[in-house]
Amino acid sequence: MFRLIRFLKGQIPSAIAAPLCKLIEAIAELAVPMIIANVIDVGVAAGDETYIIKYCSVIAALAVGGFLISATGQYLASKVALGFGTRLRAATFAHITRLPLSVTDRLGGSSLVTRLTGDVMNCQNALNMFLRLVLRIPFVLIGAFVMSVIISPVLSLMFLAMVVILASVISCVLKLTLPRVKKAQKNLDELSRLSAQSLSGARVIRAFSKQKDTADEFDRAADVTAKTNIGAARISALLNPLTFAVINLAIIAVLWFGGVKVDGGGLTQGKVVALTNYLMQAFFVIVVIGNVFSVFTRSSACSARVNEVLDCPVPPEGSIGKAELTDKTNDLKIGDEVLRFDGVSFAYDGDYDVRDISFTLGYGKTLGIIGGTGSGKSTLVSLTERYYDPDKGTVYFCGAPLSDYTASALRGAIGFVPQRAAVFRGTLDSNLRIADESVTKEREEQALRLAQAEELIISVGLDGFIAEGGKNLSGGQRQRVSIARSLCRDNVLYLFDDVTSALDYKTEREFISAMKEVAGAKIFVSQRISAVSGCDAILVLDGGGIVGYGTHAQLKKTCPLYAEFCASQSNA
Amino acid sequence: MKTKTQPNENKKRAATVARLMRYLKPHSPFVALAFLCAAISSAGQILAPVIIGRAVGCIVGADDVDFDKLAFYACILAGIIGAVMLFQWLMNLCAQRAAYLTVRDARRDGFKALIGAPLAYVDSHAHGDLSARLSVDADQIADGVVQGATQIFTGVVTIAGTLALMISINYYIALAVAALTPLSLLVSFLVARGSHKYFTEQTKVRGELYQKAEETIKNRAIVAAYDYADRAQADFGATNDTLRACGFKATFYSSLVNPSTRLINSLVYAVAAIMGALFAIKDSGGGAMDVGKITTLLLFANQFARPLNEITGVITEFQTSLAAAKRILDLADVSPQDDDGKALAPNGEVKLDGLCFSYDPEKPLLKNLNLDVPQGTRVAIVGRTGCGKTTLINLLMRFYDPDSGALLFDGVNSSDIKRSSVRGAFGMVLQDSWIFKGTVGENIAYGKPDATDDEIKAAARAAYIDGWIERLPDGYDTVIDDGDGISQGQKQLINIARIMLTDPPMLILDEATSNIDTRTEKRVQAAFDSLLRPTDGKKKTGFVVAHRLSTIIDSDLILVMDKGEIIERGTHTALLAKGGAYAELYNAQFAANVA
Repeated sequence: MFRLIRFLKGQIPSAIAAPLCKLIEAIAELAVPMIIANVIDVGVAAGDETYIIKYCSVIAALAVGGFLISATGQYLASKVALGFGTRLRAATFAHITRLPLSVTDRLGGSSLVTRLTGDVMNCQNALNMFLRLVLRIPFVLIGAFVMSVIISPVLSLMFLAMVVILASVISCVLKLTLPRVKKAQKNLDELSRLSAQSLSGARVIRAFSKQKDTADEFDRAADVTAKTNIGAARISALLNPLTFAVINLAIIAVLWFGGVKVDGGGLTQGKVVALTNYLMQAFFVIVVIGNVFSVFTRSSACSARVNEVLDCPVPPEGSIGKAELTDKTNDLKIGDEVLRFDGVSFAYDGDYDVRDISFTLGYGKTLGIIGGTGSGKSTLVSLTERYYDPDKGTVYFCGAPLSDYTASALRGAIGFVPQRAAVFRGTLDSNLRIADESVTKEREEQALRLAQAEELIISVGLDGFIAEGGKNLSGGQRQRVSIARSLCRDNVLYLFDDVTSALDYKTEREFISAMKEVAGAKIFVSQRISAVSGCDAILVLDGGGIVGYGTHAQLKKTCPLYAEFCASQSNA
Repeated sequence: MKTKTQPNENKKRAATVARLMRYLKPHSPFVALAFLCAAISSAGQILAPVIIGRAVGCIVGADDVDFDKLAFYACILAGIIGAVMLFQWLMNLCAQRAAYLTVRDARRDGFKALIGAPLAYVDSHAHGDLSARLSVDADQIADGVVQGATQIFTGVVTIAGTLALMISINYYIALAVAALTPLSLLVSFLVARGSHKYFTEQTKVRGELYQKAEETIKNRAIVAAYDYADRAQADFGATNDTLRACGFKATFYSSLVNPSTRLINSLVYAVAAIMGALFAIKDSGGGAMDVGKITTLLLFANQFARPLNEITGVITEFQTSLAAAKRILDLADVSPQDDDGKALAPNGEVKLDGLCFSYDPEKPLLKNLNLDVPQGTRVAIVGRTGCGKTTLINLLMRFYDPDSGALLFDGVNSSDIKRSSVRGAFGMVLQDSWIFKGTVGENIAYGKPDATDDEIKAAARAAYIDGWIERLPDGYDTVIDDGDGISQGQKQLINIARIMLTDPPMLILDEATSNIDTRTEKRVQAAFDSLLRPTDGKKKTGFVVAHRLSTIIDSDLILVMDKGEIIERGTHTALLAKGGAYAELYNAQFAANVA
């Protein structure tokens, strides 16, 4: 948790001043019982009216002063906490966008989102609470204790005993409650899972008329959740009664032993009253510990999760930048080598997912990659985009290994369209503009036409709203927006990863023939023969290895797997 | 505008409370017991300062301490402590029990409504939101009920009791305290109202920020591919800074509540101290004062303020939980889809008579469909995305009802047949396959829970998934989930095995093999064929939606749909000869394949 302190940069003075304000306020508060003791022992005893009014006015003045100081403290604490949270969030976000996909895939997208949002927010709240409430606790406790020592060193032992007993009672109750609360949380997750499952299966459940069975299952889970919660409550319900008992028993002790001392002349009545007041103050503060305890256990787990992200190293960049690459690609001629795999093997973990892949793709040429599920098609795509680095062999782009380029230079020359269409909330224009901030309207429309999405220019419009994840578009439309994006800038290589799966055959065919107008090398990855059959060369993958390479006509004769694909997809 | 919406909102809030009360009713004995215990324990908490004050009164000075009386008061105090402990604990137990049972019931009703709701409701609501209502929101009700039952009630009892006792000691001071303390309520109310708009803004901006974070992270491959990281960071940073500004205001203003109420309380305390001390030396009416009584009064002055301060805190919590309660109660309000009508078992003859349907009245989807499907016909439906194929399936399954026209099974209007009977007659496999958490065997036997192991294995074999299942660590007893680890293709095959096991009189296959590789697909198609046209029995009616036209060539009837209409119908050869839309679609595929 403390490692995140660096995000306090520039706010250290405020971070120190905030608890200092709280300290001053605590001192003002601690003075009150002493003043009351004087009012009783001196003012009331002597019947001195001005003395009483004077000292009580001091209490009022302390209250106003305390308020001003405390408000300043709150101001500073809020400022520091919000500044910290904002900075941490920005840094984490920036770091996530810089991390290689091999790392973000391992951590998981949804987990990264939770870390960036919920976890950072928890850390921010914990810091705010720490500055406002927690730092005050030791001040008040020590202050109250010191005051009680001043009043009566012997009776202050009572004070000490109460604090120790109270602290152990609270920690015992928390310790017993925590596992039960965790169990209740698990039950809650189970309820979420059940309802999410029943929603995703709405059609199948109804098709089999299983509504009642499903509801019964949920009922049972809801009942278990209720019972767990009630069980947890049985113990946590002890917290308040026990603290009440401890504090009042301490008061009884103070009254009795205080009585003995007063009787012997070692103490005054007013001081006994002051002592009970200090006990009360300490009591309220300790109750706060119990309340904030869970916040801090949670935030320490959260900060560990955020740190895990921040600790992931960003790999070093290559040296070939955008300008140098453009120099290289400016005078590419048809057939010049654009992409070359040289004995490439790669494993996500354990066994190789692709092994010993070698092929070359020239400028202006098209390459089809076909294979069943799990044959390694998408892995080849990830290696080309350098989302992952090969374990063996090298991938070359325009003659240099991928690792020689800066990421933005390399990826800036490749028009990549992933399998799952990526559409952002915004407008059609803002989605296309991602490829090139300076793209013209004409180019955007041209790209949409090439992607067979001309209808969108009219039905949605370039300035038309696109919902989160493209929910207001059909699967095929999303896919075509994604394709159009890649066509909004000139690329040396186009990488289409199974992009026609959501398109019907007619549209697919029109798209493929439209791509002939676009300059550059192109790779079409697909499960469908129809998507690759027209390519200059086709790579057939099976189990991560190349089992065929050639044209459609050649492969039909020489590659049994390819022939089998043809047979299963044609109208034999 | 604010004045206009206010009473309306209050009315809504009152309605929610009233409905919540109904859920609380079955557990009213616990609620009553909780109130009783709360009353007793608050009374004890009020009495404690009185006794402490009396005890202080016994300690006057050197050689002037009444130990007998002191011991007496100590014993009384100990008794009070014991009673408060016991009853406070009981109060918590009863309140929590009532609360969690109420939550359980609300959850059950909510889920029941959801599972019985028309699909139109499920389809038109975000699933994440619906399940959040049943989990997180429901839990908030518990917090609200517990707080409401205990804190607010105890608070009221404490305030009333404290006030009464203060009056009995010295009514001038009591009145002063009672008149000044509500100032803290006013202050916290003002602060809360002032910070409300910042909170609303904060929630809104936070939602925006989280949406951006999620979108960027989800699409990280594209962000990297198009060098979008810097622009995404700038965009995120701008919203992040806005959040900082409004978050700071919300945090700071709301954090003023505590110091300002404490300020008021301290001032009241000072006033009570002055008055108490002055009355003690002057003895000028309002009630005789001594040091013990001053002690009690000052303790009361503090105690009187506390519940008021807490109530302000509780009220916000109460409002949140009311809002949450409304969300789950709204769910329970969804009227269930009927399951009335005759329990007929359709045989396989289907007729569409002028069928019209739309999801959105502004955009008619299916327009005047007429179709006769004799028993045993294999019907294929083809057409571009969005032409209404899947909608037709929704109507056949009675997931949705036609706007006009009729759908007839064996000559009976479908609206006269129970939905469950219609659905029971169909075996359905969709493009989006569904797996629930359970063993593979349970998943296959979903439609026939009493199936024997041999039957389950036979179904798996028929769906060509038996090899994969046998390689799983626990075979058919392996627990699977809808998450990762199983490919879409395997999920689809399990869904197909389900249908193989139930062997229904009609089949609906909506892109049922879209995720399966073409080699396995070929075999699964053969299995469907033998299911639809068994060698030893009656032919079944089947509706097949497919992208790959090669899979539907030998259908008895091919329907070509476009923009909600059937534009062509006939057999493969007839349609091909016609040279229309079907021929064009077919040639597009054929050409691509043979090119």
